[in-house]
Amino acid sequence: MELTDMKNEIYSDSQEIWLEEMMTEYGDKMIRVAYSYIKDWGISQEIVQEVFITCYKNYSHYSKVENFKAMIYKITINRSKDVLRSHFVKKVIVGTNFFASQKSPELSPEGLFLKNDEKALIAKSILSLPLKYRETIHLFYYENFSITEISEMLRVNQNTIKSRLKRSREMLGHILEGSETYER
Amino acid sequence: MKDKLDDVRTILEDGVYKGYKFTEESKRKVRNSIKKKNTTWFPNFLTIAVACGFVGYGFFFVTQELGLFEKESLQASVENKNNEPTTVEPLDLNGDLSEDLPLIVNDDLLENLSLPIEIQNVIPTISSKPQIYARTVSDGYQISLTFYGDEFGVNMIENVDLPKNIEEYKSTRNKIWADEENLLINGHDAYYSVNQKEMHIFTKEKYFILHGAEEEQLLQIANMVDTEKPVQKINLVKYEEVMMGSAELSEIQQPILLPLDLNEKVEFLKDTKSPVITARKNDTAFEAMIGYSSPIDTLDIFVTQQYSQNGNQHIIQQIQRDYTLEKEVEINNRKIFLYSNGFHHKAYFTHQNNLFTVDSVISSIPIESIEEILAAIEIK
Repeated sequence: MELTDMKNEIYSDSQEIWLEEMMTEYGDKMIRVAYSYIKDWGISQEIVQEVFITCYKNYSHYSKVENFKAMIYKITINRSKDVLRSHFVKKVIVGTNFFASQKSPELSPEGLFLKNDEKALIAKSILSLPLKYRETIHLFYYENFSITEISEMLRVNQNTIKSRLKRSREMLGHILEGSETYER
Repeated sequence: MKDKLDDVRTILEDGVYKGYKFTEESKRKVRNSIKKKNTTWFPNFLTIAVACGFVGYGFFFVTQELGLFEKESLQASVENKNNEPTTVEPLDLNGDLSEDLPLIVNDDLLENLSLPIEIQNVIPTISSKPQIYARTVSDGYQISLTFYGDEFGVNMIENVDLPKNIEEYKSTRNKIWADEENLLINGHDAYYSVNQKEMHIFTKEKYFILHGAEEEQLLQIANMVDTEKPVQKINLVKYEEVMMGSAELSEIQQPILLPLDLNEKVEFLKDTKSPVITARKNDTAFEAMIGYSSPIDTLDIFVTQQYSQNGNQHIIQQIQRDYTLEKEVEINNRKIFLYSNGFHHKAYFTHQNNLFTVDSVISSIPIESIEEILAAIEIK
């Protein structure tokens, strides 16, 4: 075997190992990030597949990135937002009442969960927030990113993130108060 | 509400997200996709290289001899020394950069921008200047402008890419919304949805998205887009993000000049309690930040010290680009610059390799108190 071929093989091997490690470490996390935007598990799987292929293709760059975690979140968020621009997703997934559209004869995990308990109501309310509030809540409370990190990731001013968090809490408060009143 | 949200992780993990994973099937698809690329790369490359060699030579010969060829795609019409129009090679906008890299918003990018940068005359209630970001996309780049507003701002995106990519976006796109209607903006195909307050405009080399304003305003903005501006060869420069890890103040070697008792020194902050102090650092830079809740509207007022061995000129340039200078004052041997974009205050002064800033929403703090904060920092 020629030296160049050996180098290529080693390079290719390490690239594939890197891909496997990346899929193990970030696969489930990225699926949930994508889902928080798209609200469709099938499309989220496709988005994350694309993200990993993009990372693999740009191995020479991404494998050297110091804060890879922030980078892969950013790529997944950008991809999800691109997909959200598509009419299909907007109309069929986001534009309709997501929870009402679960028509499987058996209750889906969401369905099982979304019985009228308080936690279910909070989850439902979070996912029904407008995108910019939903993403801020998800990144801050679910992913535990700091305001600075979210600001860098979304390229939005820190004060805006802070305002969005405040506004999200207010909106959730209104939604939950409304539901409680209605249920009573 | 805050307490309930602190539990969001458990709520979502045990509920909506329960049982959903990145599946083995998806992993297999990723592996298959890259294997296909790997196994066919060499023969493809060889075939393409040989074919390109022959075709290229033939093409070159014919075009040189007969002068028949007019290049399609991203041609920049430039003028030579004799002011005679000529054409240059199709623009390789991305160069060696990979996709989805942040870019420095340099003069080249701004000069090539077709989107209007001042729209306050159309919508007086938004920020006077936008925040601008750029990143690479497929074979080109994307530049986005965000104007802040009370509740909703205006976002504008300009994608500059090879004509074949723009054509592909256009032919594969789905409707913005069911109410989408077709329009012509300066003779170019455009699509508009009242429901989504969104418009897409396609030219040969650019694809614009305008979002957020009411119909009449959005149409006015659309007519301000310079759809005929030719694409020029520009210098895309990757933005080197300064990666810093969280740190304790005690771990920072350089002097921290930010007083931690600002709420005792500045009248406006005297009733604020429990400021949030954060710090980040790497080998050559650090950032220490104190966040106070405004006594007026509880939004944060951030006071920051940023130190960098290489100086902070790039941050200052960004402030100067994104904000308008409102005031310049000299207090306590420092020159304080007060900037605003109609929604946010950004004030700073520099001392050696340190940059001190105050960042807040305009309604959260009076300008005099910002001066007071920056004047209270003891520089040695």
